[in-house]
Amino acid sequence: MRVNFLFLLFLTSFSSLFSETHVPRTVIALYDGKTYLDSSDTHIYKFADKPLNQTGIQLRYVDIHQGLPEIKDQNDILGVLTWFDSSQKGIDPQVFLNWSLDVIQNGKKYVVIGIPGFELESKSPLSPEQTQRFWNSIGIEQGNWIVDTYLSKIIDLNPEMMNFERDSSKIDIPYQIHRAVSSDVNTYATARYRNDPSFDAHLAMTGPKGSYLYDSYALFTHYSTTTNLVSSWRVNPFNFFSKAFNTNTIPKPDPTTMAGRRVYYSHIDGDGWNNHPQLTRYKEDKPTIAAEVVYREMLDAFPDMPCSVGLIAADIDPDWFGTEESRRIAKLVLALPQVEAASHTFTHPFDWKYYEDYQPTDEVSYLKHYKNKGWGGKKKYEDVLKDAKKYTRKKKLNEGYDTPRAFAQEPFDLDKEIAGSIKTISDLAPEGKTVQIVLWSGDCLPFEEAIKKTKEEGVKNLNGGDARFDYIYSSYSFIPPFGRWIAGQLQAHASGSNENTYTELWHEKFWAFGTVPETFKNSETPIRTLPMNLYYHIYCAEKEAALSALINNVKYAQNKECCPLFASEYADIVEGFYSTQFFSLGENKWKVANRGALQTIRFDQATLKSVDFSSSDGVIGQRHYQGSLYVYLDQTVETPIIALKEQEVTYKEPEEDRSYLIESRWKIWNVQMTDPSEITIEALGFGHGEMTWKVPFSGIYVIETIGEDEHLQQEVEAKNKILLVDIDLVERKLVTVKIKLKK
Amino acid sequence: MFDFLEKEKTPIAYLNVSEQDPELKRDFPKFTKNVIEKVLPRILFKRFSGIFLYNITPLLNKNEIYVLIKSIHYHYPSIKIMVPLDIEGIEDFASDIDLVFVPMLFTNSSSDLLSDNQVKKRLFEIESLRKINPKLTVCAIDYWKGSDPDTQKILQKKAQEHEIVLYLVSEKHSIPFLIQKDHS
Repeated sequence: MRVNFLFLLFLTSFSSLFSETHVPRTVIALYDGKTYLDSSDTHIYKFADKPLNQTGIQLRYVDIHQGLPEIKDQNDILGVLTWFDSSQKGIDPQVFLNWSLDVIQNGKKYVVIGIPGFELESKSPLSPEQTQRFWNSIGIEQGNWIVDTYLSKIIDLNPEMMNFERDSSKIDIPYQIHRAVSSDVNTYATARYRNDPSFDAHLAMTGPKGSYLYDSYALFTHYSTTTNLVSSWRVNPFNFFSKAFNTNTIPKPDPTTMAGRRVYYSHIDGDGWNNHPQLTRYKEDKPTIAAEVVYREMLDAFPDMPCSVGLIAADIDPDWFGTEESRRIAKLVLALPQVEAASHTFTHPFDWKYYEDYQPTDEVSYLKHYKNKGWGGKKKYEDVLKDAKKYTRKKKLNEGYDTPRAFAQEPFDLDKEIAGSIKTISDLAPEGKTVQIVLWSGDCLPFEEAIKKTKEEGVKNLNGGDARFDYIYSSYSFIPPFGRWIAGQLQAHASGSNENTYTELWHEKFWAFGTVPETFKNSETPIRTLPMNLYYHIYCAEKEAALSALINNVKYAQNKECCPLFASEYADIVEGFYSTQFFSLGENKWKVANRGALQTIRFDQATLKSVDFSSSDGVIGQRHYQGSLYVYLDQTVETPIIALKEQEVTYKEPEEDRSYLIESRWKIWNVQMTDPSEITIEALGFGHGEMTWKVPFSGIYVIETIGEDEHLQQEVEAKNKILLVDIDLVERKLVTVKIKLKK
Repeated sequence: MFDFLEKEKTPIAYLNVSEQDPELKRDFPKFTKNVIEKVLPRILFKRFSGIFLYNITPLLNKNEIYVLIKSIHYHYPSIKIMVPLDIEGIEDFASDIDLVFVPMLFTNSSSDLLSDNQVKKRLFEIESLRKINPKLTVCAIDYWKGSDPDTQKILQKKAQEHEIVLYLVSEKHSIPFLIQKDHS
């Protein structure tokens, strides 16, 4: 009998082991590395990466000139995306075509935006019959170009897919006929030429094997006087990619949300630390530096709103430009518990690429622009300066910069930029507090080695992206992906843009930074695409209008329901977005692996779904919001399991016979439930510990909060099985909270 | 400039509920799911920040109206919901809505003033709702003879007295009379 039982147990374990299937969420993004040296210059990165992130997908950029990747048996690969235009350089079209057919043969989804890679200009172009093989394999046929589009009209538009940000009812640009020939290919916009159905073209299509989108129609772009590039979508990119890669029902890692609430974080680039503000009220005092104004009005004044302050080490190092005053204020700032120590580098490189392959002689011609000629005025570098006379290499500096970095008292040294700045800044912080993150400077395009250095130093890295979504940048196309990959190194993007993009590079409209809440709102509803991120420079405090805007912005966020975090915590979560893996354990059940610090998994179109707690493990809570279900995981459970079940109630929290979290301002973990209405948790956060629990019984609950120096007890009544807890702690402290129904 | 930025408007989209696919209505949870997951996002992607649910009664019964409105508020707590005052069971979901719409509160379609008793009855209903939801904004539309400035003043005074956002409509004129800065 015992043997049989063990055998059965073995069989059960064996079958569950093998019924686990990898849910792929990586898409290969092919690009032309001869035209675009950096994948972040490509159409895919600029326009498609973020909507794909929203549908749960992460991209792996591959330069076609470095060889096409192996697809066979790659379980994590969901499909391939290409977005080429006629100006780009291709490879042997036959090689490209064969590879593409192989991709489809291997069951991967193939999405073509614009021209496919095998149709790029070539000395040996393929015949139409050859290219047709590809199109036919995804249920599409290709025809002639229609040039005289005044004879064309749009006859059929799917309202859920088209007319998204811009009217789609006209076509006034030449297009090539692509048409669905398989009944399983869905079409969303049809152009008809000369009223003749035989010339019908489908400008947007999705099918089970592959999809097609005509880029010049789907995405409107033009150059305007107010912004460099204006763009807006005619197609709904979230719907398109979700259908093209069939991601509707799969779980999505979501960095925007923590503990059921929208993440808030703020970070400051230290530029202008020692500047003198123009504010009248500060002029009456002894001379004050801008950093002190930020300290007083933004940091000390909002203890519940954390901020990561990135100092430029050169501003505080006495061997560079540090003064007694700059160091005094740095110590005050770093001593605040709501402030996270961050580095904005040592010398503030503007053009990172310039320093990738650096020789000191590169910089000599710029030294005259620095105070005392920078390191050019120092005797110990005489030999380098002599060498520079023989020097012929001309390195191009990005347009818009007069010098490659802000300070140059010594030749550039990557180690000093990262490790050196971390040490210099950490030395001014109170005991136990060290720099946790590097906030990239200048163009925010660090090269591989620079990012690697942050990893070696054990800190996170962030910046770049310049997310805006407001009355000027009025499209989802201005929201960047969560991160940028460069040769296997990840840079987390900031989720907002600083005052520079609002003030014409700090020349005018200093009040305009007050419009940041527009981006907060537009990126929240009807889909949450970004956390709230308040990002600015120290010099913002120099001008009354900008400071007033800043204060209004932080007050706006303060009045919103959010989960405030440090910037390094958010950057850590972004890393988790890219590392998360899902394994299907059957219908509506998944194992979550390698998620790092990411704790929220989102299910879209989940109005009629809820967590099946009896079959889940490591789930703290759930919250329905805007048609999605946000599931909060316990960070102490390495591989949680999420099981969903059907539910019919659409207007209130699902009933369960155990307690679960709906939302919390503080992060919560290590949830122990000895009884359905008795919970012990660990918690940490900023401001009041507001949290809402769904409990199995209404009635009085006793809330006990135990910290190193705290022991608070309160009684709260749960009405309609909703328990609203508010723990009154001023400082951020790790606490244990015990919640128990009073018997 | 700052005043301009602070004066927030609430663009509200009109949603004729009875125009929704009646087939879907056979399975009411699926009908609600469709409104939450497809209909509302399409409206909100156009940057509307509220919806006016209109013509609900022909399609939905009292309980279904209750569930639909509660569901919209539960899923989209930040969007403004507006319904007509005479919608069935409004008192049961008054705390989930932001605005009520009252056509012809003070006048009839011939622009004649209604009797005090008729007006009182509606105002009583409004006050009852305000007891449940003190933040409720009441918007009314009344007909007005464009050539009669005295009546216009009387109507505007009445609206102000009862804190009602009143729109006066005549054959030639339409005068929005705003008493709250955050609604238009």
